[in-house]
Amino acid sequence: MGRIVSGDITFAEVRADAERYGRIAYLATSSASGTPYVSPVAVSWVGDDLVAFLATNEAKVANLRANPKLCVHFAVSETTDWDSCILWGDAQVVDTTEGRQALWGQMGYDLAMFEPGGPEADTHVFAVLRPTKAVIMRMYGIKGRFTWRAA
Amino acid sequence: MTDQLSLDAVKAYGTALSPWAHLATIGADHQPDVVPVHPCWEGDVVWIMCGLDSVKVRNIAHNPHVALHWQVTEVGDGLEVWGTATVHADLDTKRRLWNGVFDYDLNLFAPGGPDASPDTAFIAVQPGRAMYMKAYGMGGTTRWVAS
Repeated sequence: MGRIVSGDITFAEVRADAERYGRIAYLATSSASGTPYVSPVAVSWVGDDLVAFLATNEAKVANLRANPKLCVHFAVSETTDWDSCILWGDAQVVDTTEGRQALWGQMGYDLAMFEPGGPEADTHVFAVLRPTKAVIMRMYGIKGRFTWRAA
Repeated sequence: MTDQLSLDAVKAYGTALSPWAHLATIGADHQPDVVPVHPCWEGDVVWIMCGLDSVKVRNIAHNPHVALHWQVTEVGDGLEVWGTATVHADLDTKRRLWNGVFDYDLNLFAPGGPDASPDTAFIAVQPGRAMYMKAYGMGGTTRWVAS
């Protein structure tokens, strides 16, 4: 086996790579007591932020309120040669009507299917991740590993 | 709908869903981490092959609580299992697990086999609770809790 390729990449390259994996990503959060949670969520890029639309009563929302640290791993599959795109950073819970209105039409799917009450309803929130670190691994890292860190 | 599951049903759901799961751990800095793994059941324990210097092993040394979410199907059926993890790098455990427990060839990832792969270890997860969701929970949720 040849030498493993590794190096630094730009955030634009992370964004471009993230588009390969589809809309589903696995979000890992920590409860206040340190119990991990991981669940699949539909995500969308809004500018440089990765955004998820979540029910207010979900454990991950309570977790992010207690500890904003978030890790996102886009779904791996054979179709993307088992590559990984992983993001880390702090997430903000957007739970105001004004904040929800600003994001409502930017997710790329009809949020009203999940929240008929629209952006005024307090039963849903957005989690907004501003990434500070990303790692892309080719075939679990066997074919290469590339890192980006916010300046 | 919320109903009760047996651990055997949890194992059957996981096996039927996917060979892949996402393992979440928490670091000493309270930072979550999540990676795809290929877990296999031995009795009531979930085993995961790992690198001894991996982030997940370092995290487990600090905080043994882990969560595993089996890869969801296209319609959003999924399984999450929470448990307590321990890391095993001793030769007896490696020799025992190397053949017959995992449903893939461990030599593909550690060609030295159990005796000559010092950087390879195994994570054992003792499940404590689980949740099976149909269609991301919209089709119902069933749970299991260890007695």
